[in-house]
Amino acid sequence: MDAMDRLKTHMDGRLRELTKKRSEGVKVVGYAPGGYMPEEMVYAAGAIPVCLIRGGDHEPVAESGAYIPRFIDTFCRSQIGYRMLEDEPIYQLVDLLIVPITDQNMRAVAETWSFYTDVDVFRHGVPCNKEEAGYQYYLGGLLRLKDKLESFTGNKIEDGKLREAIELWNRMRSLFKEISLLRKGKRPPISGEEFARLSHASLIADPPVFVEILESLLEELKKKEGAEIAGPRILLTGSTLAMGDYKVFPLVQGAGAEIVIEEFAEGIREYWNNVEPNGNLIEAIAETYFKKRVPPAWFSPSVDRIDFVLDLAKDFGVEGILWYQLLYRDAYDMQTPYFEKMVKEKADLRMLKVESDYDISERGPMKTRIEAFIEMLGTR
Amino acid sequence: MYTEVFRLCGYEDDEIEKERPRIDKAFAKLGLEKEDMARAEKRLQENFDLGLQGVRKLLHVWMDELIALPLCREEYKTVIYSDWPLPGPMVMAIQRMSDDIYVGSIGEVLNLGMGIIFDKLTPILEAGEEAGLGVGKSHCALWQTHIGGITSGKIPVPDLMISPNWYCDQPAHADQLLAELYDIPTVYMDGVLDDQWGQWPEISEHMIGYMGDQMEKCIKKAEEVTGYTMTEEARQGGLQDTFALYLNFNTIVEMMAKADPQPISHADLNLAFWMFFTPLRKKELAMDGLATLIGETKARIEKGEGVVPKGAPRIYFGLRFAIDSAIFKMVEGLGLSPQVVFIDWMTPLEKTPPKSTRWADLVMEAFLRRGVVHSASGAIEYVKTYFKEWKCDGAILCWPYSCRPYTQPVMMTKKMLKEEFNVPVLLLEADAYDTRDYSAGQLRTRVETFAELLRMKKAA
Repeated sequence: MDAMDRLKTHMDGRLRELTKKRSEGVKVVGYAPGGYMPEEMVYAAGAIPVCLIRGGDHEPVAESGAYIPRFIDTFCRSQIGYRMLEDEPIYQLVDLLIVPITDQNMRAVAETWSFYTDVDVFRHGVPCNKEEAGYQYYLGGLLRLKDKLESFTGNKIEDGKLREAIELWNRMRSLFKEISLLRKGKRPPISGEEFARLSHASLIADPPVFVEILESLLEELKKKEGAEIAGPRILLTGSTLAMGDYKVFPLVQGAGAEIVIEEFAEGIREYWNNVEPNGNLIEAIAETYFKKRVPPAWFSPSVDRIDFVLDLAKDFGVEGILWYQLLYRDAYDMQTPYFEKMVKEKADLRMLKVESDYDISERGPMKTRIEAFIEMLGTR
Repeated sequence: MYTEVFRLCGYEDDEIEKERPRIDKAFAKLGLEKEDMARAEKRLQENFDLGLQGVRKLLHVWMDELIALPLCREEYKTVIYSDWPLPGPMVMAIQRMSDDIYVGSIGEVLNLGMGIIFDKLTPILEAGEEAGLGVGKSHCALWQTHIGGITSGKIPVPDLMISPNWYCDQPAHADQLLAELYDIPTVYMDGVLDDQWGQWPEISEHMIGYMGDQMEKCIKKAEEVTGYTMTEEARQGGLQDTFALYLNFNTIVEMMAKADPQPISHADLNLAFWMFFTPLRKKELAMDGLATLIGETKARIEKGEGVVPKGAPRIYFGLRFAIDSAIFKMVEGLGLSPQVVFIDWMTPLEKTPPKSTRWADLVMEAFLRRGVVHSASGAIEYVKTYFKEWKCDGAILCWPYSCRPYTQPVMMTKKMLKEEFNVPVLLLEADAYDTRDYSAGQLRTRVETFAELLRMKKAA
């Protein structure tokens, strides 16, 4: 059985496994994506971290309208809808929800879950700048999170367990990085969509099992040669790429191009930096998760993100940028005017912005625009 | 062409003559022409009770600000822009550092001047949309105006922008966009709202302290750019400027909440509300205007005079409109009495002195005590306190098209009011800063039915 098959088997049984563990008294800790909630801490507390990362369906978006006004980011409205619809099992298993407050859209998820459900919701703030004071605030939030996890699970987060967890996640990040870098070549052994699905699986799978599968996968991919990319190489960026929201991949491929690298605030695991497993471990986590992480568009200023995307584009031989944002995620929408200008000026790259509200009716116009964009890149 | 408009705004003829060169220049920059004056006269007469001298004085203050804004580059050494939700005491303290400094909450000034008085905000909003806060994306219209004022060339490019990044996400992104377009020095006042559900009215010290530090950072930047030093006197003056206005305003709010019939229109009171976030050049006139309005309100109460019939259903109305007074006129015209509006009233808790000792912390603590800016649970508790205190017959709640933080608790509040107070609640979709997508006429049918429901319930 190859690694991808093993992963499928594992993911197929994951819900049953989570339900069983929970019935045995293990706490399931849900968390909002975005790379600011260190799963290592949850794991070290003897609980199971599960990211709420489903998206792409219209029904939860519509359902959320009964609980919150519609002018909230599509993904965040979905996180309310999935819970209220009661037909997405993982959303019903959550004992504690941790929400790093990155912006008002994410805050809306926390507020709504607090009011309409009986789930304990813990908020910890993410300052939107990288000043020392911002780092200290984030670090303070992690210390409060540690207290919360310890009191909620009844387990102490000891250094030994935390170090073990950090090492496990470091291995996961390193493997992701190695796999991602394989896409620099002309014949990437893994497609953009496969990589995104892998990233999403990592947010829900059992970490030791997942790392083992990833090890095998890397070995398999090193031996594999994918089809040569005939058309333009695309960098996909934006606010959120949710599990289940894969519509842009076939549209890009159908137009003759391939997504070779992606950068998202939410949905793609951050794998570029590891946590130093020595010294004060919570400080080491804060250092990596806050200081080293490329700031999303909700940071002010957030031009570092543009430089990072440009570096990625150069390293992966990218010819065009596809900006995929969700409706009402204002920080991303407001960054596009100067982002587009800067990537053009600094790297002579063209960009296309597409937007989604997880509505099937978007597919036609989106297809036409992506096709036209790819065609335009092909003629340059 | 504009003499009558200024007279209606409480200007004396000799004052108009004296100010004429400045007015001509300012109006030319703002694109205000002869035909705009007729519309302004009509709006002033229709929307405001110009028989109240307090109202005329408040209009005078806003007209002064509208003239000063486009001329600030030539009349002041340093120009600094800010806007809501930057704490009023901070911007007012910076304004007090020197008479050479112009500090302007530009969105508020344009809203009140170009919106409420002249109804000519659309070109500015469109310029904001063109610059990057696009149409139909639910971007904050206050910040579309903020950006559009500059990109349309109606108001000058500043020397510094102090950008709030703590209650809503839009300001910092809008200012960052401006900074990239015009290379304007910008300092961000960051903040995080991560208190837990139900924690309000307790406010975490870490939250207050962080935002206090950020405020001090902004002040330091203002010192660097202006070359002036922030003094203790300026700090205390900034506090005094804000809270003196607010306490006088609250006096009227409480008088109105107790009175039956409602003595003055909320359209008139609206002129005072938006001053708390705006550094004013004629603070004394604003204070005088409020003091006059207090006296006039008191006199009407004593005479039993009002703008709605005695015994009219009393409602909590959940929004203030910065650019359109017609909504209040419509609601009151249908025989409803907005007893308390938005966050006008200060609960007893909010009136108690903050615990913080450092100036910046004290400002932030006072701000975060407003439940609505603290959390959804704070906002809900706040409305609950209203209803316990004032026993309203119902509520009209509004969710603005473009305000993510303010919309979050609206449906929760409706559920709470129905379950805990058993009162009818009407939800309206509207906007405080942009009337292009709705109008008083359009909302009238729903409010009319709601008013009838409340009257029937009251009679039963």
